[in-house]
Amino acid sequence: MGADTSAGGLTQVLWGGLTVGCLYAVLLLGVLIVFQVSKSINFAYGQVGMVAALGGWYLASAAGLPIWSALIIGAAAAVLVNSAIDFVAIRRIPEGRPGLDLVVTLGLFLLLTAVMQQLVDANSHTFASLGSDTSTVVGGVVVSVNDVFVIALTLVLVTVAHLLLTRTSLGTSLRASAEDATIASAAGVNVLRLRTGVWAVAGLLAAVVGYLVASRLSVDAFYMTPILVKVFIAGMIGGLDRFLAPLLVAVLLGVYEAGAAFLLGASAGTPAVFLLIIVALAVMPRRFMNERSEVRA
Amino acid sequence: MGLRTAHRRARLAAAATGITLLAAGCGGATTSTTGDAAGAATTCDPKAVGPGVTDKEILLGTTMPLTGSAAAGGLGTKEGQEAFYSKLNKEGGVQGRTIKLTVLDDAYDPSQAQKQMRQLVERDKIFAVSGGEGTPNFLGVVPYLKRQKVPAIAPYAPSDTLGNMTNPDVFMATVDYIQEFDLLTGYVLKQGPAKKVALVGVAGNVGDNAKAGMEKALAGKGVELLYIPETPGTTDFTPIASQLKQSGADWVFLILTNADTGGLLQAVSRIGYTPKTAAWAGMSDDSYIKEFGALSQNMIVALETASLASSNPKVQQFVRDFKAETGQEPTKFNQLGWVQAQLTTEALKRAKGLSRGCLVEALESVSGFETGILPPVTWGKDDRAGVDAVGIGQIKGDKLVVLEETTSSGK
Amino acid sequence: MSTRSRTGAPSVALGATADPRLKRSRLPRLLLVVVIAALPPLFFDDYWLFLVAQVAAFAVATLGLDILYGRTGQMSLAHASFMGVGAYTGHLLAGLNQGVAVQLLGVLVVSVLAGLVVALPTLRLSGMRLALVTLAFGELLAWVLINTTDLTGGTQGTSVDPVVIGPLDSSVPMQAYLMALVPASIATLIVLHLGRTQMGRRMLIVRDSETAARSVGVAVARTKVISFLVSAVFAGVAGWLYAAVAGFISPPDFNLFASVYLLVAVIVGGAGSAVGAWLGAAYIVLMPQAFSLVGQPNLYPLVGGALLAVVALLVPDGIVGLSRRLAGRFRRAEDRPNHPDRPNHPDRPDRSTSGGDR
Repeated sequence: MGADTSAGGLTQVLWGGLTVGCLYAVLLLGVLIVFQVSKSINFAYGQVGMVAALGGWYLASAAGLPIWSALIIGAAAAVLVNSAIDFVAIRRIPEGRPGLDLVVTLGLFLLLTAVMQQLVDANSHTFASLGSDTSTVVGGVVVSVNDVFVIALTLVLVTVAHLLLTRTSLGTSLRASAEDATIASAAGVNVLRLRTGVWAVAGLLAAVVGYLVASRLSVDAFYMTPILVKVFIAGMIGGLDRFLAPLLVAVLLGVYEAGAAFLLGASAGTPAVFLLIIVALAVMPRRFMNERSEVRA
Repeated sequence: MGLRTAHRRARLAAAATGITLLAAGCGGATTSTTGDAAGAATTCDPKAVGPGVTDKEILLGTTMPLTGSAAAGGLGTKEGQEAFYSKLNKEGGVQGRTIKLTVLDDAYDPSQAQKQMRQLVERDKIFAVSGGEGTPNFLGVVPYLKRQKVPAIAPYAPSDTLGNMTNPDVFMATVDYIQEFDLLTGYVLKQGPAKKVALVGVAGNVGDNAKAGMEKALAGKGVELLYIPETPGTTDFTPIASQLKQSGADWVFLILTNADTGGLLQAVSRIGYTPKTAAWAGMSDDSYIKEFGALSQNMIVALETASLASSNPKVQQFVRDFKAETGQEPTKFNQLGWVQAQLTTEALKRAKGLSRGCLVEALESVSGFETGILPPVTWGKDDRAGVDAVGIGQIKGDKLVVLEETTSSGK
Repeated sequence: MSTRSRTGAPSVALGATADPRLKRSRLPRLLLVVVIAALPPLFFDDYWLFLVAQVAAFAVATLGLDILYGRTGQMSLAHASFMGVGAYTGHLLAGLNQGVAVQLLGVLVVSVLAGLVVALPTLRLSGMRLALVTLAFGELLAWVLINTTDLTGGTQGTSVDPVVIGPLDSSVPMQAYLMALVPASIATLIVLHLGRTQMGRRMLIVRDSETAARSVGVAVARTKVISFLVSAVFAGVAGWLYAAVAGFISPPDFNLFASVYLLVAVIVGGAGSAVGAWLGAAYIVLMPQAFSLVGQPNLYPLVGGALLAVVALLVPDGIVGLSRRLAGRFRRAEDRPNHPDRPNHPDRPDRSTSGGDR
């Protein structure tokens, strides 16, 4: 403890930031693939992960189910809820009304929150530790099993998603329907099935991130909202219609946030992030600035 | 520029419409009531009868967060009040009347709280405000209550702006965070020498007040204080944990939400730092100890309400009564609600008449009143503070052990 | 209320320029507006007048956002923050013993400055990234408020002294209503008139397609900046008014969620329409209370969210769009189909073809 130097402290903080940044990236992956097929923003997406984690907590702690079956049921619920959001709401949003997706999913956000508060309760709970309490020291930095799992998972998921998108016919269909759903459909892509599948996968990603965040902090009906805000920030800076750039921004955002909070004080974390946004958008080369839909217009 | 011409013409038009409406409005002034003169709580006229009082019933009301991120406290406090009044009504009520309580949801939002409070005062016509829970939301209704002169009894809204004659209609029964941390720090210093202490607090008034209280207790003691403000919704506590570890503080004081206290303690333990901790009264609640007790072993906590495990016969009586009413074990917030209703009832019992003036007079007569749950409550002609003491407890296993029943600053 | 959707601008403002045909048809409408505005003081009690005064204050804000979002197509997630700028500026000036005139002037100046800060990025940004800059501005303002407890009351907020103008005192609901009505009327007239001006038309072109706007020689950046400034001033005045009516302000009144709710108001009411902005303001102020009034106060959180989603899905053009659709069935030939103050007419080009908003 006494041997802890400033540099060691900083490395520890950056490691923590890297892990949190990876969690941002995985959730952002869900946002990105959904944006590909639906061109919409789901404000209730974080709450899908909350449904899984708070529901999972309830099944394990209050109803006494074994943790693994509780987690599986929770994840299934997330897949179901996310698919339902698309099926009941997003698909029915008429074309060409920007902002309507925001309003509709804000309504769903409020609904999911209220329902879970009624079904479970309004308290904060400790979640299954998922390895966050088992750790070892590597070069002066405490590394937990949970940290390693998060980083490995992120690498695997991003690689798999990237390969799927660029190397398989599935990816081609996906990109085709993202470009123009009507043409893709005419070319024999089952756009609707593809879309349903993507929303289901995104639900699963939300559940996984929901679990991991809950294991590192705690779980209640609100804990995913600050995460989702950061995820959207990374997505908007990097561009929701791109792939690697926004994911990288998400990881860096986690690292930057942690570093700023450590070096400048915890209360400086918030302004540091938002000043970064303004600076980043001010100096970004113009060719990155144009969103694809606009270039086309 | 179209806008400038628009402005010019609009100004003309607005003047015209304004005048018309003004005329219309003045005509209407006679039909609408402005303010509730009957409720003015200046003096006690035993024959006068305040709003919300009939031969059979007295209407009381308040707002609390029943939904949203702060709902846990509001729901518990509401249950506590309802249990007390339900028992009271079964036993015949007070002043020959039963109590009807309306609790509206303010979602912890000051603006919503004011709208709901206006509904209670102006439409439901409540007699007085019975308790309440949450500081910012309650503060949102204070200017309105002041104008309407509606007495508010024992809301749980720790703030240095309440409990004095600036807001004479609000009778507090809780210490503010300056006092709480002054007392808590005083207790900790008595346990042994310390060179450096740290405080992690919610950024803003809550953290600032806790810091002020600690500074008061530390003045002249040669103990260094590191203050780290935290914004609720922090997604990564490693930076704060590392900063604490590096500071090498002997004690870490905490005034954060349950979730953030748990999150920080987890990060602290993850990086292998094991400081002694002391925290505000929120951590004395069962809902905290049940969830985060394992992370909080030996944490010293301030007690705003008596520990439910206390051997004090009044506390044990409360636990029995609450269980009989609801069939549940009480929580800290149930206890808070209960004592709010108890104090309101005590004032109603003492009132010479059922007008707001008489209620205020009765409240001012309360002196050293023992609830068993709070330290003795005293109000007076120029005293709205109610209590000036906290107890001290410690989290051991999954239990809260009482170290000191009450420790007073002896005002 | 839907009758008001076709009320148009009172002819007092337009008498000078409008042709006689218009003038004839507008007089009854003006009377209708005056009658509706006079109803609350005549028939409502304090509780309702307070709510209606709040609706008027919020209407100034939603009208401003309607200029920015409904007409110019710029998404702002900081509109409530601009309200906060106005509210706190007024409060601080009142604390320095400044009168109403100085307060209002201060609110205008600071709003313009704040608007400029946020408007400058519009020179290079649009769509979601612009929304992000506005969000950053809002978060920074919240941070400043929390860290200046001595000045602003910090997280727990501060009570605001009532604004007194002559015999009117904003702590009395009826008088607050009358005071709020003046800026609300001015704001409404400006928005109604905007549709007839060059600038108003330029805004619509920018909204529908920036590329198209450039090709026809519209100064896109300038249009957007002006739109930002006007909306910031509207929001600042609205915030100042809200503070006077409510008597208490605190950071949650002006946070991200509050901004999102203002967007909700504009969209639910009907984007691009002054009446829609009023209906939206009424929705966000009155909807939570509606549940209390029917005796189900604790149902709102549960039903409110679902209701919002359902309303947005069923009535994508907002309440104004719905009433127009209904009215269209009974419409007689005398109605002018391309009325300038109804830019959101269903016939307008579908925005999806130009896609400038994401």
